[in-house]
Amino acid sequence: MRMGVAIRRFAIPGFVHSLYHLVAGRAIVSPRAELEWSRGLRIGRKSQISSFVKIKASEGPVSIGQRTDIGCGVFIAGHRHGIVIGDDCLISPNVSIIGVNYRYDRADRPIREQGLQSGGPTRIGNNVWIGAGAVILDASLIEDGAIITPNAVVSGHVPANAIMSGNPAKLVFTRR
Amino acid sequence: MTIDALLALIGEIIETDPARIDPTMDREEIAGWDSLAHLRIVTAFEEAYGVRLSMEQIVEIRTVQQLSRMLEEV
Repeated sequence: MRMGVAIRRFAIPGFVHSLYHLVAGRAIVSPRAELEWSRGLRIGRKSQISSFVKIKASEGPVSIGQRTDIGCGVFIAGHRHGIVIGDDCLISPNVSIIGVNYRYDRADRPIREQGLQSGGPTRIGNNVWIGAGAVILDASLIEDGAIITPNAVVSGHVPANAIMSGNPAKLVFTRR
Repeated sequence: MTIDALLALIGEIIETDPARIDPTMDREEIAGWDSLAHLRIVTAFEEAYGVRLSMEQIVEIRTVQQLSRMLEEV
C-alpha cells in the first residue's frame, strides 16, 4: 500500500470525516465509517453513511448522490472508471459495490500478481433500492427505480424499474 | 380457466404440491408465497393468460380465488 493511501485511509480520524461532510454537504457520516480522504470521493447533500461502511476512493472516483442512505457494513471499492450512485437510493447493510476485477489471464502466475482491470464505470441510477448482502460487480449499470433483492449478484445492465433476484440476478418483475 | 390450472402454476413457482394449496387461504399463510414469489406468480399468470394487471390489482390479490377472479375483471 502506498504511503499516501495509507495516510488517507488510516491517519484521519472518523470524526474529522463526519464533521467535514456535515459542513460541506449536510451529509451524515458515522465516525465509525471508514472513508478515504480523497478528492475523488463526493457525498451529496443529506445522504447518510452508516457505521462500518468502507469506501475506497484512492484509485478512482466514488460519487454518492443526494439523500442516499448507505447501510451498515457496505463496501464500495472505486477504481479507474469510478462508481456513481444516484439520488434517493437505499443501499442496505452488507452490500458490496466493486468497481474492479483481478486479472487472471495466466494460469502459471499468482492471480494477485497479474494486476487489476475495470471494464467501465459502475453506475447506479436514482431511486434504486439494493437489498442486504447484494453484490454489484464492475461495469454494472442499474437504471432508475430498480430493486435488487437481498443477496443478488448483479453484473451488466439492469433496466429501469426492474426487480432483479438471484445469482446471476435475473428479472423477476418490472414495476409499473 | 380452472382453479386447478392456476393452482398448478402457483404450485410450480412456490415448489408446493398444488393439492395442498387452499384457494381461499390468504397468501401469507401459504408457505413459500412471499413478496418475491407473489411477483413471480403474477408474471407467470400474465404470461399464461395474456393479461396485464395494474399495481393496485397485484397488491389486492390475497388468495388464489381472487387471482382467478381477476381474469374476469381485466
